[in-house]
Amino acid sequence: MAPSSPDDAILLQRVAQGDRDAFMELYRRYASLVYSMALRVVGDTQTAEEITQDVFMKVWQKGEMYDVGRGRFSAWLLSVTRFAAIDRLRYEKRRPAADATPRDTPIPRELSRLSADHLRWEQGQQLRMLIEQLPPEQREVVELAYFGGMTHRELAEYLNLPLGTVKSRLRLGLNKLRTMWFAEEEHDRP
Amino acid sequence: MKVHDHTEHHDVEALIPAYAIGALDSEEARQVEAHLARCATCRALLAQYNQLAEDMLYAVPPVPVPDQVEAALRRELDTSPEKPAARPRAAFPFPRLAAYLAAAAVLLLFLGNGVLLHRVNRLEAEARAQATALAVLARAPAVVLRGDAPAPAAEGVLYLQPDTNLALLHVRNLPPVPEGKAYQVWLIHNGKRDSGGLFHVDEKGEAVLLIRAPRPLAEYQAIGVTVEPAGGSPGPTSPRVIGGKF
Repeated sequence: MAPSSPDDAILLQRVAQGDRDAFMELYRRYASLVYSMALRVVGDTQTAEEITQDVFMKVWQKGEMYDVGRGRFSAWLLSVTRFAAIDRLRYEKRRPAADATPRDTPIPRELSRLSADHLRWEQGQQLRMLIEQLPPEQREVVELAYFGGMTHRELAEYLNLPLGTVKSRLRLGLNKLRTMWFAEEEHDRP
Repeated sequence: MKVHDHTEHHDVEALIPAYAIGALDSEEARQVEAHLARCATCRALLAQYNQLAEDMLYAVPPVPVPDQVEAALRRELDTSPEKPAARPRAAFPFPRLAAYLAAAAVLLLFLGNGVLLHRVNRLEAEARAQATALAVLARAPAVVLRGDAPAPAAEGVLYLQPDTNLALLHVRNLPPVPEGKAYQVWLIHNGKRDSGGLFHVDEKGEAVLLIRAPRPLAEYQAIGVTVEPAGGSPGPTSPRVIGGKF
């Protein structure tokens, strides 16, 4: 059983009542996940640190907005982080960052100890490797759309390509990724 | 299917991957949403892409957070105004569950200690059982279940006490099963499946089931639900309609 999600709900209840220890426990569990997402989107450590801090302040102030019935807390937290980081990119009119880390980088040991949802993160690294296997022109639009927050029109403008080309690259890339990913996942489904 | 519908379906289907990751411009997004409301095939496809989009949240290079972030956060907490007084707990995600729970708790009390119910006023017992059930539930670990391809809109939560054999499953948005069939719950333990019981959904596609598992819940890794003959099967004989990992 995943050690994370059950206790997250309890910690969040305590955070809603102003319990700082519960809040710092959530921070210890998820700060590296949040920071990694922020860094992936914005590409510089200082901004990623600021985003991490902002996201956790939101949890402190509004953590009760997370609805246990909606799914995993870490997924909710990472979505919040992804959008916060993309907003920052847009606000500062910056270029999206590229994934510069080698794909076979193992998860650092201290993270495996610290991070709740470690398994999800390991699966995420497998998915990263599948993204790497996409044809470069498809991978580029998939990454810019997902981590750069770009729409079809913005992609076409940014890459100076016809709209139709961008649309079909994104569709083909995501379709390929979905097919590979669910084929891989199939064996461990009940 | 009319030619017009077919063309629309074809056009929208091509936009679903981009819709799932938020890459559509607003006009296209509206077109997709209008079509999704009437096309189950596209909703099923979207469910898969939504799952992919969620899994991609974890597909980032792992980097340890620098220590100074925690220090800065603590400073901000020290200087920020006190957190406003806690509001009453947000509405329970499944409002109807409270009533079911109270009933289930009364049933448990009744089965577990029939004498008790004879000795105390029944209303008092119900009130107490309801309070106990809600208190237990507020702390109970929850496993979230998601619909698979046969029922992409289905969702559910399994509340459990890991060291006991009792759990409460609440599902909604499941289609009714054909005559002579029932939903069967499977609890997966090292690749083997124990039956967790049979259920039907109401007209709203909702059901609550009290599960008495053969083993303590902590020993299971996943839960799945399939459609089986009304009397149940020794093992799943059809694709999973909803499930989740512990």
